[in-house]
Amino acid sequence: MHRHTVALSPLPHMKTYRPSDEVDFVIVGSGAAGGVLAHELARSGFSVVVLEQGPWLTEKDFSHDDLNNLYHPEKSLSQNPADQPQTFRAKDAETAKKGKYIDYGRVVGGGTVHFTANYWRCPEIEFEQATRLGVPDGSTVADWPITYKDLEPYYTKVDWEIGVSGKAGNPFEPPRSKGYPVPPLPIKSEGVLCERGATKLGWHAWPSPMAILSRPYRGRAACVACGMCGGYGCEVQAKSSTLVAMIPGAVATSRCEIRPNSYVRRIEMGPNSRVTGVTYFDKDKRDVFQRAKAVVLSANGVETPKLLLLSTTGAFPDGLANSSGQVGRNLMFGGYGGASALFDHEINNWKGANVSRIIWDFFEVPRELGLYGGGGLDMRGEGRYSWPGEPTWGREWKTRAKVYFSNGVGANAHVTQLPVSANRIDLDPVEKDAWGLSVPRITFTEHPQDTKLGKWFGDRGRELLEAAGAAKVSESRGGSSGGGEHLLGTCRMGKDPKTSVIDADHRTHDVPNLFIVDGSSFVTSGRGQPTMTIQALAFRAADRIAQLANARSI
Amino acid sequence: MPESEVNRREFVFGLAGTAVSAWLTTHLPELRAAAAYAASVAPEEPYEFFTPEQAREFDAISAQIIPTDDTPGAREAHVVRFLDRWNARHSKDPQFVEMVLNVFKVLGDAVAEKTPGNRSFAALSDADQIAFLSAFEKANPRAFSGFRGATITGMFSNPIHGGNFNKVGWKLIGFEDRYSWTPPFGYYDRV
Repeated sequence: MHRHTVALSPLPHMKTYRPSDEVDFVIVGSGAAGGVLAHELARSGFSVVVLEQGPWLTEKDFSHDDLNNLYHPEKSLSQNPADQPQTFRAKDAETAKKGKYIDYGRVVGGGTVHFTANYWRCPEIEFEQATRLGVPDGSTVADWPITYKDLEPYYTKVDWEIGVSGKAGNPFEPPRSKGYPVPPLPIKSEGVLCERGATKLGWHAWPSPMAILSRPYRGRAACVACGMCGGYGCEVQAKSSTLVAMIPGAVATSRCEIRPNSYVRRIEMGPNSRVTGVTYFDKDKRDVFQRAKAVVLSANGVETPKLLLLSTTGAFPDGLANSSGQVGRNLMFGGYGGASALFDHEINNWKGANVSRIIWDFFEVPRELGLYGGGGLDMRGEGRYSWPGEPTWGREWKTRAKVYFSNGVGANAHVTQLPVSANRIDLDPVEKDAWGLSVPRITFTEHPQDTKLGKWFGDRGRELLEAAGAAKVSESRGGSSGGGEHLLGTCRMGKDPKTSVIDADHRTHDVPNLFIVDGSSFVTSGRGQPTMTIQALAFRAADRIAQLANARSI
Repeated sequence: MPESEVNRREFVFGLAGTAVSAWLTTHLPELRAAAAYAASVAPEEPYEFFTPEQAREFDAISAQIIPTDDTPGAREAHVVRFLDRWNARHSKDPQFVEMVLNVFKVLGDAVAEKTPGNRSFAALSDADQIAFLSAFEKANPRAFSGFRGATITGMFSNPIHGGNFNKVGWKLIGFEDRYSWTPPFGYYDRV
């Protein structure tokens, strides 16, 4: 064991702990869920250490530099696939190939630093889908152990604590107890086109709820419409990442330490099937053991199951908290359908937030179509470099380059993707990361129902673009080959310890002082954008965990 | 990353370029110290990675991909300097170097097949270069997209990486790096 070095915090007066201090909670991950839990548990009076794989960057480190954001070894906002690759195979019979298949935020604030910030609530049906729609063959669709009603107060908490802009009253939104703290962001050209198309088709375009401030709120500035959201860190703190909305409040309690550059490799078990803390690599790849009374995993839908599978013991030879065999299974990324278009005039996607109008008319797709699930549509500008069937280089291409770049629009549907048991994360038997840990192996083949659903939504996207008056519309596309940023379902929540990993309090069925709160908790994929629900779960879990701790039942 | 995910991404710049370029995307990592590099390098300075022949070949091919007409093209954007710098950063990765050399070999072989005794694309006449590239794009899509992806990335990525010199790429597509805007943003929210 080496001497523990204290990382310098960009925030003043941060409380620090020694690894030998038995803190109340260690939280693994500081992203959408971890940032919320740190804030809530520290404010409830608990001592907290947050271990984050990546560095602690702030506005001064963020840039509008695309290549650096992707590839810079110290300033990249995502994991570097050279150090932390994954392997992928469609079916068990294949040998998985190494590459970059997923993308997750690897900085303090996690993916909320570089995300696009679409904040959709799940409609009520999402939580009771098995009962209301049945279970398609080959899928593991189940009801959640909680309902929309249970989660609603926490969705509202996300709106107000995190800072979400939007307009209440969307007829397709589930009931909300309170409006938004700040009004919607200004409409953009693609939003106007979305309204135009929707009106023609009898659909309803509505201001998009976004975790980006349209007005100053809680000491943070309003969006300046720089146009650099997805893939970039916000330089004015208008994007409501946990980095700016939660972490400062957590640190201000003087009970919470954020420890960046700390890559947890093992959850340690003591007697009586209880967790005693975690072992992590510090910045210099030295082993550090941080003691804790309880551990919360918020590492994301791939890293959380990976960590459990790495933490085998005599009692848990198949991975910690995995008596059900469900750890890593039911992997979902969210389904997709869409189409692209060129319009006659400029859209200029490179100004303003990515989405200003959404269409939620299809959360429940007519059953008679033989489809299962539903989803929502958005329209967003697409900076393109070519158009199918047109020259991709040369003089003619050059005369069109500005049109491709400025006049492109995509209609994108974010839709149901069914949980399937064989779709999963496990440990690759061969490949290791730069720390010598087994890398996650993804096995994924989309359920045939999802391919149909994606195609149907892709056709709706096409229809919308045509109705909006596009000059050229692409073929529709739909379905998912697996991969992306939305990492869901791999430690599902449920009442039955035989078929789920955590209970409705986010406590693992097997280990009383081990909790899991992140995208892995999802039972079904949602019908759109997952981060809002991850954070509602996190606010709710923090309440439940605090109650359990105060009742001395952890 | 699966194609659908690439399509879904909304990064504004470069990404579209890097996404099409197996050359660049499969070999990530560092781009440090590129800042202000090529902008400060006079064209006659020696290359770090390229041989003079490779530089000449890539200059010729990138100048056909984004030609100079009444507005600047890849040549004025210093795309060759951008790629030389990028390749130099990755020159310790034998797989990367092999891939780059292989792309040039594929090009040279294809040229030699067309004009026996000559392996140089740059040595072809302007009309022959265009005819050759049209065929090459169809016959060797992977190698072609490597050249095109590198050209696009060098043309439109942030000038600190050495390409997009004097922001000529951004001027071509109408992008302004002001990073602070108020509505209207485009045509349809103005009218």
